Amino acid sequence: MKKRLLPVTLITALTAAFLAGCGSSAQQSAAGGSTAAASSAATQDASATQDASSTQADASAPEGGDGKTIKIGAYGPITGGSAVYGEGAQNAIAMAVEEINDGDSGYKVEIVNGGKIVDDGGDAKQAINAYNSLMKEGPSAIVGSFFSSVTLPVAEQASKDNMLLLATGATNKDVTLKGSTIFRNCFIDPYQGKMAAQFAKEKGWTKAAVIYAKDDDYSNGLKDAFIENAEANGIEVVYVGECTTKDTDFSSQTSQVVAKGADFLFYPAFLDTVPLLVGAARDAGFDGAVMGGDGWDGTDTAGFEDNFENCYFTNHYSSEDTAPAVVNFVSKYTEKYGTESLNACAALYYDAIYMLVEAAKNSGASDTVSLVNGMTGMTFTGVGGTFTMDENGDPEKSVAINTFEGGKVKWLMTLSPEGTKE
Amino acid sequence: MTFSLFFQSLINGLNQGAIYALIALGYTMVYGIIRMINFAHGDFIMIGAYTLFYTIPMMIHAGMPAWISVFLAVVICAAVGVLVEVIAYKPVRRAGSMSALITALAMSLFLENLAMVLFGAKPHNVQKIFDLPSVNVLGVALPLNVILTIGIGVVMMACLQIFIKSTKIGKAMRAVPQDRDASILAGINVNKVITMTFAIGSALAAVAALMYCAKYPRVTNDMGSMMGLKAFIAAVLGGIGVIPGAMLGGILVGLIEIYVKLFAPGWYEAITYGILIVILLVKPSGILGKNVGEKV
Repeated sequence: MKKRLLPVTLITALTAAFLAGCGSSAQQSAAGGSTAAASSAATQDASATQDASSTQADASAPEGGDGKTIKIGAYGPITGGSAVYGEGAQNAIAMAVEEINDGDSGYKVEIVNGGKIVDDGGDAKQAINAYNSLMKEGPSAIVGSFFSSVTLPVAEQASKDNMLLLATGATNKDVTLKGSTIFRNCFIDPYQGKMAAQFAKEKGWTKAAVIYAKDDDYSNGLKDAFIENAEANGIEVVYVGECTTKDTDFSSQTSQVVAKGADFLFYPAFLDTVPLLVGAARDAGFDGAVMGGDGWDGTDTAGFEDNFENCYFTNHYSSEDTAPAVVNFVSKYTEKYGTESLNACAALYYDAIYMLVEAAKNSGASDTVSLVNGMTGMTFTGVGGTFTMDENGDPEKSVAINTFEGGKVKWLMTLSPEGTKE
Repeated sequence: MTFSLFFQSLINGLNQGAIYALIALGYTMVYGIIRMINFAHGDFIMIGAYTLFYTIPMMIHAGMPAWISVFLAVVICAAVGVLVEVIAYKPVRRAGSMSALITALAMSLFLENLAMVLFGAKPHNVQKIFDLPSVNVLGVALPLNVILTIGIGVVMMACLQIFIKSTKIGKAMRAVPQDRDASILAGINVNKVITMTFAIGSALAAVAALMYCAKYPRVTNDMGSMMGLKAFIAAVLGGIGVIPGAMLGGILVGLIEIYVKLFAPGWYEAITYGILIVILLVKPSGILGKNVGEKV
């Protein structure tokens, strides 16, 4: 008996060891921002990006600033699965700085770390390191990051340090609640869920199903907001299914979606599992609309072109929008860097730099306190539209709704809380 | 639960189960012959999937049918399996089971990270090999490629069973674990048989990669670890070392996962792993496993 038990115990122990090993290795690589963990990091920390933190070298700064130079530090995902966001952010910041410094606003911008974004690898631990390294250079403001899970700990720290943090893509509603010096220029999770429900109502869909990743804050935030607003909009939520960010099989959940007779499926998740979910939904015989949030931006639709018909997602902006600020940004960016990294992240970092300049203009100085004062309650027009900062430091802005045509993302409409702008 | 939901889930579960079964076969064959759990087996699927990802467009570009890629994947996976065995496992075989296991774990991590360096960490979509429509059976939309992959899985398992039962090398494979010394006396080249086992197990992993990619057309460098683990559970569930056990275990794990997900999607992994523990407690040798005392 003893002899037989031994291999059994051994196998169990090894399985446990293997599982534990997997877990820790994933964490380590994610922490290191290595490309290995890119996909998992992208899934889990989808909202981390670079912050261009703008530090203003004010009159009292040791650098001998003149109160007209805004010293900004930026961090974001330069490596890892979301590196394309970081690339866009880096280009957009360089573009914004060049424009501002050549312009006649009366203010100059200096990006610390030699104009480079500090890498957060899409990971919270690395983001804190990035933040600390930026703080050593004495910026007046810090910009970033694109992912909520990465920004949350940084916001906590920035609030303690009384540092102005302007988050870009971090949509989790808790980010700006960390302190009065924390702002963002993107909409918040509940807002995307609300707008998705509003869009569904406008389209006349009445029976909604939701599949969400329960191990992800972003997904939970959008799901809760969608369900709350769907009911308020007279849309019946017929099915709510869970999955995890690591799942590849959605056949059971999508079978239930079909069985419950839904005509609209909301899947707030990050890009890497989106093709699998959409494929599984179509395989299960679901021909209704599938919709997601800004996490869908950049989804690889190769081989799924047909499946992505009748799919939609909300985003911060659309490069096809006809507003002058968007047209100007898109044409300049495309000319300089091509369209490969022209994403929402780039637009948000670009706006962030301009917002800090606007804040300096409003308050007449470029130190952190003046920037915070200038930022509070300001109205700004940029690539992300025209918006006003509310008491939490969140903008009230419209969302772009995109759809797919032959696998390519296409702008459908811009939806504001008051109504539709075609 | 309506009938159509039940029926659709049955097909989904069989599809998932057939993938697990094919992977579990690789675990069980290697365990059966050298009493070693080859944790790198899951990563052979990743290699197969990357082979498909790179060769399908090449085949289409060269004007050849896409299914030729499958044979390339089989050959490459078998070669990798043999290489891993000869380079990493053979030298430590006499050093004890713990060394072999640690080597296998190291090999798994090595392959995953090598793949990351070579192919990047970004997930890729694999082009479809079969572009088949869905058919409507009893009010349920059934994609034909799912049916086809289940069919391929069943055929592969049947062929393997025939191979093991009636060919000379198959018989040698069964003889070696029973009594290695006696097998040598009977003229069996044990090293050759072990290498052959790795080649076949890895080739099955390539077929599993094909089935996986037909259903979930996405490759990542770490796709093998979770799938390999579940297939390992399937192998243990059916009775590790027993070939029909791996098939039964794989199908069972697939069906359990799909049906649990239908009603409690958040619970399916907890339940799958829970089953492993219960089976080990109740019947340590697995469903079809025999309680054979270890030879001294």
